[in-house]
Amino acid sequence: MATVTLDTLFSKMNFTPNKNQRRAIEHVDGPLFLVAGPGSGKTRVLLWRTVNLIVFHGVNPEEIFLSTFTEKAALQLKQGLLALLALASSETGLPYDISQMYVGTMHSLCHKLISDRRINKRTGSARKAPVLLDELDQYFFLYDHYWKQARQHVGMPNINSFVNSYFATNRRATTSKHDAVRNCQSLFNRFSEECLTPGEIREKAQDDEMMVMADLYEYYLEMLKSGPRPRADLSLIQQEGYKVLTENPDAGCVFKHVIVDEYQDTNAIQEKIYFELAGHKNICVVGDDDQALYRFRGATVENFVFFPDRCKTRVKNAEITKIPLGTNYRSRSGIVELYCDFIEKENWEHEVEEEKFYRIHDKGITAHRTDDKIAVVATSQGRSEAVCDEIAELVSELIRERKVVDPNQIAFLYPSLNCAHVPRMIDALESRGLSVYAPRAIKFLNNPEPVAMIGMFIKIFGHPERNPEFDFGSNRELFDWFDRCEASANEIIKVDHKLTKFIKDKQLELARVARDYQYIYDEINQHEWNLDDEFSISEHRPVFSKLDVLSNEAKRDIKGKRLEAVVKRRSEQGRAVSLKWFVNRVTSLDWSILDLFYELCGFDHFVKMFDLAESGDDEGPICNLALISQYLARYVDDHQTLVTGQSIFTDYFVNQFFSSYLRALFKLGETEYEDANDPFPRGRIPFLTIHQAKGLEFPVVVLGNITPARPPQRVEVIVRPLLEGDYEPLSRSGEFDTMRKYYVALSRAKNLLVIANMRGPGIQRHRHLNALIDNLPSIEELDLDDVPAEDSLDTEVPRVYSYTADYLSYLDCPRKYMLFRRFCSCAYNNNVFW
Amino acid sequence: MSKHDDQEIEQFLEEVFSENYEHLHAETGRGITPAMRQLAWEHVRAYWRKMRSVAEKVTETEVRLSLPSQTSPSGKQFTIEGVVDVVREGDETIIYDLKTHNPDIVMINKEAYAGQLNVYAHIWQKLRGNTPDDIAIIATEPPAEVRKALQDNDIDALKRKMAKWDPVVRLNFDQSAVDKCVSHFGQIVDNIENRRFVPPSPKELGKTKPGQKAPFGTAVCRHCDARFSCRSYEKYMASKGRKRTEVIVHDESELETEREDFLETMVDAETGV
Repeated sequence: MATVTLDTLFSKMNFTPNKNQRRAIEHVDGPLFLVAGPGSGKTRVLLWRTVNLIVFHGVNPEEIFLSTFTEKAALQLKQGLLALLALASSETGLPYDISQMYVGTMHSLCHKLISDRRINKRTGSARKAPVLLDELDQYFFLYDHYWKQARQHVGMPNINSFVNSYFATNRRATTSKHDAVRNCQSLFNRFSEECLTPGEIREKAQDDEMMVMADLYEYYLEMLKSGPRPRADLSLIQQEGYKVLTENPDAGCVFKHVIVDEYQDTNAIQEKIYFELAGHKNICVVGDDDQALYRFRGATVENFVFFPDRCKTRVKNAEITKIPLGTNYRSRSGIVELYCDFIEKENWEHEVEEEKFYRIHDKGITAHRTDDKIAVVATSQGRSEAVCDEIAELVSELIRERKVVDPNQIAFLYPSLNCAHVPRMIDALESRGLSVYAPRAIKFLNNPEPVAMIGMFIKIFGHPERNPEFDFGSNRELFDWFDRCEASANEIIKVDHKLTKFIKDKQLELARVARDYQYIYDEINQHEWNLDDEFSISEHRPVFSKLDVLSNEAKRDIKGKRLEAVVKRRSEQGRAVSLKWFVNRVTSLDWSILDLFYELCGFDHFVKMFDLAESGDDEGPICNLALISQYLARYVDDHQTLVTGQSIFTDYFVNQFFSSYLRALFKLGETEYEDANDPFPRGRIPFLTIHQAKGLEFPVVVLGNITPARPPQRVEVIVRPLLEGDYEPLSRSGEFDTMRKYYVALSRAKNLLVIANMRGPGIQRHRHLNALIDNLPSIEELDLDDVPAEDSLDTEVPRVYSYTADYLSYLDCPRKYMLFRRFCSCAYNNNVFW
Repeated sequence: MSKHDDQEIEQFLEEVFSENYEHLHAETGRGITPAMRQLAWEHVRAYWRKMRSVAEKVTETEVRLSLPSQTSPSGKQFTIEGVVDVVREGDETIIYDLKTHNPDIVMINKEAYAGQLNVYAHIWQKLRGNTPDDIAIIATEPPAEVRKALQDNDIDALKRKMAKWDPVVRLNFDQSAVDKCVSHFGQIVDNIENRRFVPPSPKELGKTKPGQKAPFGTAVCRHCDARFSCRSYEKYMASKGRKRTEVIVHDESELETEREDFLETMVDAETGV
């Protein structure tokens, strides 16, 4: 058998790397600085480089630390590695197992390394990772548990307006608790990411407000640590990970290779961790400063731009190799020229040092596709309506002429989806019979599926009461939304008599458990019993058994043999049940709200959505239903699993579910930074924020709006004085970030890029883009014959299918496979299928 | 190994089991009923006692086997992946696949299971150049009488029942079955990629699969959350004169027991027991 080499594998995969790609793949020694422009095959290079290390350099997968920006990217890398390593196996006859390899986001990897025996030499509970709070968990922790106590702790009854005015820039500060919690959340996370201790914050504080913030932060840290198991948010888990690394001297040498994707979006704590891990000096960072988008999450693009300098100081005797990956395989040359032109319009010179820049210049970006026909067009100048019409016309033509395989290959990108042009654009497309997928163009909860579903819940559990005192602002919006939900439910129920009856039955059931609760509770009071008292079959049961007013259901449970048996067994086990337990046991609903959701899905209005997905015609509605199931599951898991008679009687359930949980979801909205569902549902044109489009590509891209730069976020302005180091000046970072954002937008397109050229009163435009688009050809000048047709929906790397989780479970029931594996609906009864 | 060691190992297993359970509970916020937890632990313990000799011989656990560069009928490239345990003794290689199923069901369903292990064996052969000497399913679910003996701590009964229990179901490697199975796999990949997600027909739901006591629509669908919105299930139930909101059970008391299990677990969580 001939010796297997990298080239053997390349040719098997039909991959011909260019010179720099090959250099990067074959580089195995010392720090590597990979500057990868758009469409330059970065993921491929990362994959092959990792394969090279494992297959040809004997690196054990467990000695590689590979971090990505999102879990989705990690999954893609894992899939790619599995496929390539399987291929390598078939050539070399050796097994490669990456199941224990570190591939994931920094916080998930930190979570893992805290309990890794190789790294953390502490034993017992000191090696237990804390319970992880994601962003929404953290919000609820702050809102429900922390806030009231923190207010007392700092002795500040008006804490809401205090926090909000500290954060207010030009608008009036609100007294909203939600706003205050959000503000604190963002500030606390920045503190944690910068590893600032409350002590340091106080030391560096320039105003009294910051002193209070330090107290609040300190109290937050304390509260997280108290309780049966310590908790950590996504920022603090990284701090914990860093601590473990610094406390265990050999930890830095556990990983022979550290590879970081999207390095331009790393933050301060992550940079510390990477250098700490790089004991073997093999640190490879990959990224593109021009595509840095996450300053608002504490990311500092400076980590990337100044990497060579910092690496020199942090990694001893390091010889840094810099390799630019500049060849763009994605876009036609007109598109590449445009974004290159665009980014250089800005002055990137360093404030202080000469010949230093806030941007890496020598990227050598060139287009691999050489056709020089028109690839970028601007609409005619005009009012929003006219521009939207012109674009919609072009889009229908592109679909008609089969320039795309599916409408989901045409993406609309916006700096923010929260603007008046978006609904106008959607109308223009829909009036031509085209469907869009824009679950986040409006708040997710405003989509027809959640409106209808929550409407059903309102019909069953009752409409939360509007408080006239607070009927303004976002509270009014919330209650208006409840009204719309109920109205939508009414429309649906009107034409479905089975559903009408179902709702009626559920209402009666709720009334029944509330009534039962009331009677039992009264009885307990009359006897002056205490709810914490042990429940006694001989003393208590006869009293309740005689209560004629109780429902038959409750009577049956009270008199049942099972109750007697349980009480007896528990008592023998030393876990005697209390009166409270008894009350809950005989007055609670025997279903959860997730069960209710699935039952409601069985009525015509919702079944139709399932039908559309089963046939593959339209996956939009089912995507939204799946998301609702995830939110409901979260409520069931984190807030209230059991709906008790007490919680119905006292309105606790309605208050918790509608006025607290849904209120929070509604106010939080879906931020424009939320990850997009990818792949996009077939048959629909996706509307995304530029942030959501990061890392994606589309045959056709429409840039729908070109608003000017925004000033840096307030939290940055607050935190900056506490930081030391070389940062982009705040006075310029807003403009820099906007340049990068549009650079990302422009470079997503493969075959055609369309830019909306709106004019009119109140329409502001980004100055550099403005200058560019006036010279672009118009849509009229575009000859559709010159636009290449996209011919497949294929992804780059073959997908891995599991014999059991994919093949067998599809064979069992394709429909169930679709719902729970493809759309990740949350199941309650998922223990039976194999 | 002494009795003392045995106890220590079991204690260790129990600790790991509890730790794992608590971890899952804390991470997911979801509990399982105490009865389920007890059952799961008994499952693990009985399996350990019975299969200790094999478990200790396993040379490679959870080996990921991949078959790359497959092409579906429509030309889609894909990789098949599976996970197995491998025992090598001298020159002999045995590939085991663990299933948390009942050995009787596996026996009756041999055909269905054989496909999977044949594919795994085929991958192994391509990868390592030798054909496995044996392929077998280990069906880990202990029979009811073993669990009962464990619960009652009835040492004599346990000894007898354990001896009778045979979790290993041997299958025969059949190369011709591999190609059939792989090509079928490709068809399914196409179905998934082309979004074909129609449920089995009502007629299919009416069929009883080997080893199951009731038709699919009764035995399996009744546990599926998505049954309410499933047209096949609706028709299946209609053919039995029932509504789609109902389930068919062998014994009505089964439903009542499930209801009580659910309530007790949830009330425990709610009341902090």
